[in-house]
Amino acid sequence: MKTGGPLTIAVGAAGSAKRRRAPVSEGTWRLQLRRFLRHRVGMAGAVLFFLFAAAALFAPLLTDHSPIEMNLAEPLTPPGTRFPLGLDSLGRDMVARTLYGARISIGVGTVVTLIAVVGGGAIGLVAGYYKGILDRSLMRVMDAFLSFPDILLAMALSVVLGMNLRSAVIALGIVYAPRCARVVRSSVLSIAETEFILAARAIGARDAVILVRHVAPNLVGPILVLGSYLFGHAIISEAALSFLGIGTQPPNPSWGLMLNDARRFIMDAFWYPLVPGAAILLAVLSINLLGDGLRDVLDPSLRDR
Amino acid sequence: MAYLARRILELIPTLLLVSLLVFGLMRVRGDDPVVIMLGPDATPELVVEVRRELGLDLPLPVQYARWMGGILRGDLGRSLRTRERIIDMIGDRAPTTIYIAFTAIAFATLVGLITGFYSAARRGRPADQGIMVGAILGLSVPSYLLALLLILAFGVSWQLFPIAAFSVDLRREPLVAMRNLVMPMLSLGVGYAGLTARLARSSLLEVLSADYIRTARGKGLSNRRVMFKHALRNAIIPVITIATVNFVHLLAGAIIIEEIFGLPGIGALLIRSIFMRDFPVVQGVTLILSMVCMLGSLASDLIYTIVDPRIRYQ
Repeated sequence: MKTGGPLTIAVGAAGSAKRRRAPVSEGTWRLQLRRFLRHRVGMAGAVLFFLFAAAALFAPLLTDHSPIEMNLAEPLTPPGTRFPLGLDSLGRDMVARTLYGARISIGVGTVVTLIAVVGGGAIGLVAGYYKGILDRSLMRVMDAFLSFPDILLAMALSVVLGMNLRSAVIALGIVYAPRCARVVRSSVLSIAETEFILAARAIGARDAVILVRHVAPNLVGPILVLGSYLFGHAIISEAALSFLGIGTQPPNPSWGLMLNDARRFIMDAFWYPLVPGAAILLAVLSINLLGDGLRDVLDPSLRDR
Repeated sequence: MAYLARRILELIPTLLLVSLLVFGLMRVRGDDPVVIMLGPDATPELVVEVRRELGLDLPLPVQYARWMGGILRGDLGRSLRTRERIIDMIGDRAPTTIYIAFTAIAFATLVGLITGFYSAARRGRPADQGIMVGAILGLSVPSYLLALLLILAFGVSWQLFPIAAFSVDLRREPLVAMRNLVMPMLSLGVGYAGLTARLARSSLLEVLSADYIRTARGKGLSNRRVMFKHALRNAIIPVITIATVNFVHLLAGAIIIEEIFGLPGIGALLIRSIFMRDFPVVQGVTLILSMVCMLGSLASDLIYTIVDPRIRYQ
C-alpha cells in the first residue's frame, strides 16, 4: 500500500487545475472522448480494466467451481489441465477464487471511490464556494485526517468498524474523502472567480443553480482523474488490510487474503502467490494506465509531465 | 522566521484534533481490553478491580485529560499487556523502522533521479519509453506483493538473502544488517522509485523548456554544460522536497513490510497491539506517527524555501 506520497502527486496533477476552464459544452466532451480513443496507453488501460470488470460481473458464468468449496484431498495442486490455476491450501479452485476476488476488488474500488468522491466532493464544494469560517473549519478537520498516513488511518478505522470487508470499505472511503475535498475545493476556488460565474451571479442565479449547473460540470475532469487513481489505491489498500488480517475475512476470496495464505506455503508452492499477485498487479496497472490517459486528455497542459 | 512560527502555531489545533480522533477511535468499539486481557475465566470482581487499577473506569473526558497531560510530559502511558512504558517500546523499535524507510527512500530517490533525468534527456526515444513503462509498472506493484516476489526469487530459489530477518540494526553487526535490509528496501523503494522517475522526468522537461535554458544554448554552451550547469540543478528541487514527504509516509508504509519480513519495528508493534486490543499502545503509535508525518510536511515546505529562494511564504 503506497501511502500519501504517490497519491499526493497524482492528485497534484489533477488538482492544480488553476487554468481557467471555458464553460463545458457538449462539443468539448465529444472532443475529449475522441482524444481518449486515440490515446493508446489510456485505451490499453481501459480495455484491460473492462476485462476485469467483466470477469467480476460474470464470475458465475465463467467458472463452474465455487470459490469457497474445499477439496481437502488435494490441497496445493499445481496448475494443470484439470485446474488451470491450481488449488489453494484448502483445495479451493484458484480460477474461481481469482474471478470472485475480482468482484471484491472491483466492488471495493467502486464503493470507496464513490464514498470519497461524493462525501469529500460535497465538503470541498461547500468549502470552496462559501469560503470564510466554514471553509477554514472544514479544511482544518480535513487536515487532521490528512495528517495520518493513509495506511495507518485505514487500519485504525477498519479495526474500530469491525475488521471485515464492509469496515475496510468504509474506512478507505473516509481516508480518501479529504483528498477529494482538497482537490474539489481548489478547483472550485479557481472556477468561482471566472467570468461566467460572475455573469450567472449578475443575472441573479441562486447558489444551488450556480453550483449544480455551472460549477459542478467543470469539476468532472479533475474528479475523473482523481477517481481513477483512488480506485487503484483502494484496491491496493483493501488487499493490504486483508493481508494483515484486518480487512476481508476468510473464506471470502479477497486477493489480499489469498496472498497472505500463499505466503505461508511459499516454499512448497511457488505458483500460489503468483496468481493473486498477477491479478492485483494487472488490475492496478490497468487503472493507472487509464488514469494517465484521462489526465492527458482532460488536462492537456500536463501532457508529457 | 515569522512564517515558521505561524506554521508551528497552526499545527496545534490540528494536533489537538488528531489526538481527539485517535483517542475517540480506540473507544468507539465495545471490546473491553481488560476482559480480553484476563481471558474468559476471570471473575467479574477481578475485571472491575483491574479496570480501576488501569484507570479505565473513569469518565472518558477524564481519561482523555490524563492521557493528554501525560503526553505533554512526554509520557504516553504504559502497555496494558506488559506494563512497559509505551515511549520506550516505540523508542526501542523506531531504529528498525527508520532504517527500512531511510534505505528505501535513498534507493528510490537515487534510482528515480537517474532514470527520470535520463528519460527526459532521451525524450520520445525507446529508452524514454522503456523507462516510463518500468516506472508505471513499479508504481502498480504493491509493496507487499513485491516483498513476496523478492522472497520467492532471492530467498527461496537463489537463497541470496535471508527471508526472515531478525535485525536490521546497522549499529550492531552492520554487514548482517545490510544484507537483511536489501529485500525490505527494494519492496518499499521500487514503487517510490517509479514515482520519483516520473516526477524527475517531468521536472527536467519543464526546466528544459524555460527561457534561460534557451539563452544558455543561444550563447553557445555545449549540451552537456547546459544540462549539468543549468538544468539539472533546478530540476532536482521538486524531487528532493517530495522525497522528504515520502520518507515520512514510508515510515508508515514499513508497517506491512516489517510484518512480512518479521522485523521488530514500530509497524510490527502496532499490528500486534491491535490484535491484543492494547489500546494505549495503538493510541501512542498512531499519535507519534501522525505527528512525525505533520512535521515531515512542514520540513518539506521549509526545505523548499531554502533550496528555491524565489519561493516566499507569507
